[in-house]
Amino acid sequence: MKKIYFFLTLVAAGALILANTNRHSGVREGFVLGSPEIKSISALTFGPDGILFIGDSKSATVFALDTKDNQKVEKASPVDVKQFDQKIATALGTEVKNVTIQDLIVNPLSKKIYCAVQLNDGTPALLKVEGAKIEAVSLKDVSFSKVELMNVPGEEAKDQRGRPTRPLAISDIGFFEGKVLVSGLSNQEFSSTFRSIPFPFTKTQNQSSLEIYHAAHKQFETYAPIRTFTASEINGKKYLIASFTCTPLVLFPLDELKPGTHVKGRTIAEMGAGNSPLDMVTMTKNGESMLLMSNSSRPVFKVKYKTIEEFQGSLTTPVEESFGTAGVHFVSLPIVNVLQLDKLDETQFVLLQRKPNGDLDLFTAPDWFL
Amino acid sequence: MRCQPTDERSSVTVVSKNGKAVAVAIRGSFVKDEGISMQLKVQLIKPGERLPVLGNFRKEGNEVIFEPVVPLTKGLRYEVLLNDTLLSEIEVPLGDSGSPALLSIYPSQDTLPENLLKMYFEFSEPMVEGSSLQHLTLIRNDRDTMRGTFLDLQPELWNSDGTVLTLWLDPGRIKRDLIPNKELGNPLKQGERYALHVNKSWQSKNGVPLTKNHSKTFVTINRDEESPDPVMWKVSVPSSNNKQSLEIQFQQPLDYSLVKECITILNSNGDVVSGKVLIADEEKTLRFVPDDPWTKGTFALRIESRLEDLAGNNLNRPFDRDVNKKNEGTTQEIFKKEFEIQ
Repeated sequence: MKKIYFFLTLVAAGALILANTNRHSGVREGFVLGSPEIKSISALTFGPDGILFIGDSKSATVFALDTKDNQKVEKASPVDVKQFDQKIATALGTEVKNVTIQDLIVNPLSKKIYCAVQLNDGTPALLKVEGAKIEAVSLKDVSFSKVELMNVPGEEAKDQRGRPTRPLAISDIGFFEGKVLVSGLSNQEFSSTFRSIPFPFTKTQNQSSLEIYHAAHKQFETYAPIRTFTASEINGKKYLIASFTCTPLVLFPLDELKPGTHVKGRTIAEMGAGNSPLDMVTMTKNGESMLLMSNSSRPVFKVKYKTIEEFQGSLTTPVEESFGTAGVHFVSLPIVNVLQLDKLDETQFVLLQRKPNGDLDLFTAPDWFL
Repeated sequence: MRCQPTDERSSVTVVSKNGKAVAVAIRGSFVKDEGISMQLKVQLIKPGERLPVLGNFRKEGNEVIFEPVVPLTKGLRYEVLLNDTLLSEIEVPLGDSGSPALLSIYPSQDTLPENLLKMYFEFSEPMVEGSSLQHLTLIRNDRDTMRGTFLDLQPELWNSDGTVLTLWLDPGRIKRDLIPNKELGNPLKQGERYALHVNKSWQSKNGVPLTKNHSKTFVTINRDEESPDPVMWKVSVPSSNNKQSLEIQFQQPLDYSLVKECITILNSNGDVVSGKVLIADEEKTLRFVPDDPWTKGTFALRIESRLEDLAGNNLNRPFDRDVNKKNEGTTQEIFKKEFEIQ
């Protein structure tokens, strides 16, 4: 631990010297050295070259952190950490009741696992898991850039005291083809915002409102908040694949998500009411891609991209049977109570699962699940 | 904090900042040793395996300062080891953080539409986030404990300083004819009596629970399916050359959080008049006190269409609308209502 810190200090000092002589360019354009004021960590995603995006709901900001963790590893070692939350609490010198795991993702280059944690006192922490070892990722004297989400062009609403209004809770964050994608929920209106932010960050932020037809409901569910999403190419076209509370799976063409537009999604599956999707990830086996989705009240679902491509319809009629499903065929995997899910490498994915005995275990699932 | 130095020259103290135990200062003759930081460990005292707390050691004068990644937890005990030998045990004091108070629950009225969409909980201090529903119980007619009334959203919807929580009543159950509504019914039912209990187990971020349990009792009346209409609002206009408040009576309670932000006063040039906004009369009235005396002329209320009533009906459309009906609702973003100051 201490070695890591000394190492980081050296790296930071080295970078400081470099920063004085060289301006960052390429994906690190606009990066500065310093200590980002991260007030909360709601969602994480990796971008190019070891850059970690941190969605901070409290300050309505997305930070891009240069982790310098960019050494490519093809095959990851399996992970198996029993009582993961307990181990995090011990590493942070506290009790498990004080710790909430906010997000867990894998660096696609190094295959190391990153985990965002929040303490009851509101302090966020960013941790890295290597084997059974938990380390802190320093947020001091690091290379970073940021973009504030509150002051979107055209959204000049301020109250009489001049404070910016409309804070939002970031429900998910992703990176796709040079853009940071952010879904958020206002803490006032029942409305969802979706932003597409070019990276490296500029002053441009595209915001769209999304509308879906929710077949479990009989009406348009305008602005329903996205709980989790991913982005992918389907039949040669790029789509946002989003899931909402009560579990419709909806496609939005990414090229239609332009500033101020109102985009209607195509609901391709109803995966059951009384449930919230938690995490979504794409895996590939034998050249066939599939979507895995973990859920609050259902097992992990598997949807083959091929069946998504073949499904040309749009669900517009209600599912009549209670908690019934419709649309694209999907399979329920024999894994329940999965709170976090991410791709570890080409053949493995990691799960954070609440076991029947109450333990929260982190482990690797092999591809025979797929 | 308790210190148990192993010799006269060593001491270990907890360093607090803004009420949080952010560091441990370690003094002793050993501090001058090369590589002393590598020989020290701080561990939580607990049954089972003990591991070094993640953090950073640095030398500062004749002290080694240990900064944990997150503040040490109040009320817990830690051990400081030098080359795996106990140097000292410390306890992080609970401190004198004040007890948090639940200041208000909005809407304030005790009569609410059965399609009420959201509630706000305002506290005196930042509260622990993420487990709010565990502290709330809704009882109907002193008898039935209601389940699934509120939507469990993560992250929870808190304001930026962590003092106001927004809770949604499950919108799927409020919209008529939707399956959750048909299966489970509206979260609240017309003509019933409810008591919302807030348990004092809810802790502030300082780890201090509420001093007492709270209850809000209310009765439910028929659905509200009408958009608020600024045309119906009554504006009591002050005279010029004084700083009397402008009073807007909405004739119905509006959403506590939105009403504070969606209404601004514009002068005849279209500039925003600065002043203070007060919400009164159970969210049925807004009082605006200008910073400068009123001048004669034509003013306007600028009202954002996202302003909602208690049932989530905004100025453009009711929350629960029949999408098969054409021309229901408008898309106007800003509404204006003019008034003259003489």
